[in-house]
Amino acid sequence: MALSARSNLSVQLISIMKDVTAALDYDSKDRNEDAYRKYMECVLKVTTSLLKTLHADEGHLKVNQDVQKMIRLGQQCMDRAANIIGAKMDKTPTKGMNLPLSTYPVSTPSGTVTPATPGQRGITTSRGTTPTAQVTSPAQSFGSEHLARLGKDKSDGSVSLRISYGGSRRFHAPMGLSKEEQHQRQVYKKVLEFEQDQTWFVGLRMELDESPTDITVISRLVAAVIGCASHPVTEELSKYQNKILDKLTAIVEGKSSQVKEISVPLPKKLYATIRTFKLDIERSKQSKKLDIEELNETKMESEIDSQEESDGETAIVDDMLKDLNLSENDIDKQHLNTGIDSVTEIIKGDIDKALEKGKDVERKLEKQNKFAKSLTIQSAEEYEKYNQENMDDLFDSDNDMDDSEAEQEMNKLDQDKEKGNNVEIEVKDKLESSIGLSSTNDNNDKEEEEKEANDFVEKKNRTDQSNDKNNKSKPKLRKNSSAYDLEQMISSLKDEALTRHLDGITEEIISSLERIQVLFMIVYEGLNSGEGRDQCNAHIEDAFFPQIWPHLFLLFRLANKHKEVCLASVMTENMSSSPRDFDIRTELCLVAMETESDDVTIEIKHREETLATGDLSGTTTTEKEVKGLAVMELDKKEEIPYQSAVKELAMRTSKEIVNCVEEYHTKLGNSVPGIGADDLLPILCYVVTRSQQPQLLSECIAVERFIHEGYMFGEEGYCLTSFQTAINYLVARGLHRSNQS
Amino acid sequence: MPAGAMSGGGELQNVKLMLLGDQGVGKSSIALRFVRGEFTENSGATAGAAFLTQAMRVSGQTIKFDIWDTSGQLRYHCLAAMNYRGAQAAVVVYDITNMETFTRAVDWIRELKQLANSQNVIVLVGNKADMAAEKRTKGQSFAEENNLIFTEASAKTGITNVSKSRHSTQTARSKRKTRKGF
Repeated sequence: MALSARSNLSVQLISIMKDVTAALDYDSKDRNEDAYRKYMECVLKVTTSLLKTLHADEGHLKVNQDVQKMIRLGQQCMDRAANIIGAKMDKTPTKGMNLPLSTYPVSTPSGTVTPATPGQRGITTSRGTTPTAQVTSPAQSFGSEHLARLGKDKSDGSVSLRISYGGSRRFHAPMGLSKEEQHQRQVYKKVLEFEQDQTWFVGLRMELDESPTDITVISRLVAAVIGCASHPVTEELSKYQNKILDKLTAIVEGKSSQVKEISVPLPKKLYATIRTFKLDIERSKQSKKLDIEELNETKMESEIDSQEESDGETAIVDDMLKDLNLSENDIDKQHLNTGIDSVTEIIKGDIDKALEKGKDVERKLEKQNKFAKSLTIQSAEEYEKYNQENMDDLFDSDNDMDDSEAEQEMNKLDQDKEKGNNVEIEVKDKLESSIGLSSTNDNNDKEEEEKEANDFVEKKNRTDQSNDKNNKSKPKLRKNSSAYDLEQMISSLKDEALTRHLDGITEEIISSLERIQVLFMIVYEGLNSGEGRDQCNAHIEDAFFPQIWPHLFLLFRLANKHKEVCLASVMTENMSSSPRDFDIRTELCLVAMETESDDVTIEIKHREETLATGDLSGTTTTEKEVKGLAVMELDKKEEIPYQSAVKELAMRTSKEIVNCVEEYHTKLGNSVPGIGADDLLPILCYVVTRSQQPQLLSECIAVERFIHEGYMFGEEGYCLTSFQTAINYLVARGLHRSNQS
Repeated sequence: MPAGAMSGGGELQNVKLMLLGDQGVGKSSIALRFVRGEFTENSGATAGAAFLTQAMRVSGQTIKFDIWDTSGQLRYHCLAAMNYRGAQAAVVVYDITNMETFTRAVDWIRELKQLANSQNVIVLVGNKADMAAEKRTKGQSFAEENNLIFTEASAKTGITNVSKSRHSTQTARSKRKTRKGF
C-alpha cells in the first residue's frame, strides 16, 4: 500500500513537472495569468499528492526523496506565483524566488537524470559564475559573453524559442544582473516579439546574418530600425533623446538673447566682458599649482616672449589648453588599448575618474558656496556699518547722496544675486538665505537707527563722529570693490555652472549613444563588426542629434560665450583686412595681377558658380582673393546647423584653399607652391576672420566633443584640428588686444 | 578611412606622424619627398602638403602614415598641443645651416617627451644636408643622449646619411620607418 503510494508519488512528480514546464513557458511569454493559473494547479496537485501519501501512510510523515522534491516544487511554484503577483503590484521580485527549478535533476522512471525541461535550459550551468554576473556595464557586453550567448541561442533557429530563452534568462535576473542588463534583455525580447508582427524585419536580420560585412545591408537594416518609430530600439532612442531634450530646454530656455549679441561687428558693450574673462583666466591660473610641466612651459614662453611681441597671448592660450591636453592624453591612452579586455579597464577607470571628478566638483561647489556666503555677509555687514556711519552724517545734507548711491548699489547687488541664484540651486539656497537675512536686518536696523537718530539728535558722541568721518571713505571703497568682486563671482559662478551643465549633458549624450549602440549589437548580433559599428554610429547620430542640436548648440555657445566675444572682436577689427595682414606668404596672397597679365586672372565673385558647373574658364577680374571662395564656403554653412556638417566644412575649407591656390598658379603658369601647415594656418585664420561668424568656435568645440575618436586621426581630424588652432589663435589675439585698448 | 585607426586589427596599421620644426626648415619638403620621392612640389595633395598619407611595408606589416604637418610659427606654438593627440611618431626637423632652428627643435623634443606618450618614436632630422659640409655632431650627440633616432637629410637632392632608419618600440605596432630621400 505504502509502496504503491510512494511510487505513485514519483509518477505524479513527473506529471507535475510537465505542468510546471507549461507554466514556465507561459511565464516566459509574459502570459502572467495563464502562468499563475498553471502554478496554482501545480501547487494543488503537489498538495493533493502529498496529502494522499500522508493518508496512505496512515498519518505518519515519512520523509523521502520524492516528498522532498514535491515540497520544493510546490514551494517554487508558490514563489513564482508570488513573483507574478508582485509584478502586478509593481513590486520588484522577492529574493526568495531565485532558486532555479532545475537545480534538482528529476529522476525519470528509467533511472537516468535529465536536465529538466527545454524552457529551463542553461540555468544549471549558469549558476555561480554566470557570465552575466560578470558583465556589469553595457560596453563590456560588447562582443563578449553576452553576444556569444546570443549567438548560441541563435542556433536554435525558432523565434519563439528565443523568446522563451530570453524569458528563462529573466528568471534568474535578480541574481547578478544589473538593471541595465535586465533592461537590455527586455528590449531584446520586445524586438523578437515585434519581429513576429513585422516580419520584414526578420528578412533584414537574415540578410545581415548572410552578409554581415556588406555595408549596404547593414545600412539598410539600421536605417529601417531607426526609421520605424515603433521598433523597440527606436523607442529607446527617442526615450533617451527626449530626456536630454528636456534637460537641455530647462537649461537654455530664454537664454538665446545672451549669444545673439555676439556678432560682427561686435557691440561695444561686450568688449568689457573680454577683460572680465581675462581676469577670470588669470585668477584660475593663479590658483593652479605650478608643476614641473608648467615650469618648463613658462620657460618656453619666456623664450617666445623675447622673440615675439605677442607675449600675453601664448601664456593665456597655453592655460586655456591645459585642460584640453589632459583629456587628450587620456584619449591617447584609450586609443592605444584596442583589445576588448582593456576596454573593461578603461571603463572602470573612467567611472573612478568620473566619481573623483564629481567629488571635486562637490568640493569646489562647497568652497564657492562658502565664499559667496562670506562675501554676502561681508558686504551686508559693511553696508550696515556704512549706514550707521551715515546716520551721523545725516546732519550734513550733501552726504545724503552717498546713501542713495549706496542703496542703488545694494539694489543692483541684490539683483545680481538674484540672477546668480537662477543658475546654481545650491548657491541659490545659501545666497538667498543670507541675502534675505541681511536685507531684512538692514531695513530694521535702518528704521531703528533713524528713530534713534531723531531721539538723540544733538547728543552724539563727537569723537566717534570724527573717527567715523576719517574712516568713512575706506569702508565705502571696500564695499565697492567687494560689490564688484561679488558681481564677478556671481558671473563666473554662472559660467562655471553652465560649463558643468555642458559637461553633464555631453556625458549623458555620449552614454546614451553608447547604450543605443549596445542595444543594436545585442539585438542584431551581426552588427558587431567594424563596419557594423561604424554604420550604426552614423545612423544613430543622424537620428539623435538634429532634434536636440539647436538647444545643445545654444548651450555650447553660452558656455563659450566669452571666447566667442574675443573671436568676434578680432573679426570686427579685421573686417576690411587683406590677406597680407595675416602674414600669408606673398605667393599665396592670390591678388589678381591685372598689370602683369591681362588674360590670366581669376574672378572670384563667380567662382562659386563656376565650381558648381565645373566650368573653370570664367576669367575676368574683380575681386582680390581667391580665398573669398573659402569664405563663401563658411557662409554657406549657416544653413546646415548640424554637427556632422561642421567637420565636413572644416575639411572642405582646407581643401578649397589648396585648390584655389593650385588653380590660381596653374592659370598663371607658375609652378604650384606646396602648402604646408605654415601656410595653411594664416590662411585659415584669415578665412575664419572674414567669415564673421564667431559661433564657429562653439561649433568646432561641439564637433570635437562628439566626434568619434577615430575620426580625429585622418584627414578630417587634421583639418578640424588646424581649424581649431586657427580659431584659438584668434581668440587669444582678441584677449591680447583687450589689454591694449 | 579613419575607422582604420580604431580597428587596429589586420595587417594595416595607421600611424600618426607629426612633423615639427621651425618655419622654413623644410618640413613640408621632407614630407613631400617621403611621400612622392620628389622635390618639386606637385598638385593633387588633399590638403596640400599639410596632410599627407603614405603606406609602406615594414617587416611584413603595412603601415599607413598619416603625416601631420604643423606650423612652426611661434605664435601658434602653444596651440600646437592639440596636434599631439594620438600621435605615435614625430619627426622634428631643423636646418643644419641655422643653429637657431636646432635650439627650437630641442625645445620641441622636450615638450614632446612631456606631453605625448612616452612610447612615441621621435626622429631628429637635420635638413638641408646639401648646404653644409659638417656640423652634424651636435644633433647626433643630442639624439644619443635623448634616445632619439637621428638622421641628416636633404629633401632637395635626396641625399641622406641614414637612408632609412628603422625602429621598433616595445609595442610592435609603432614599428615605423623613416626614410628621407631614397
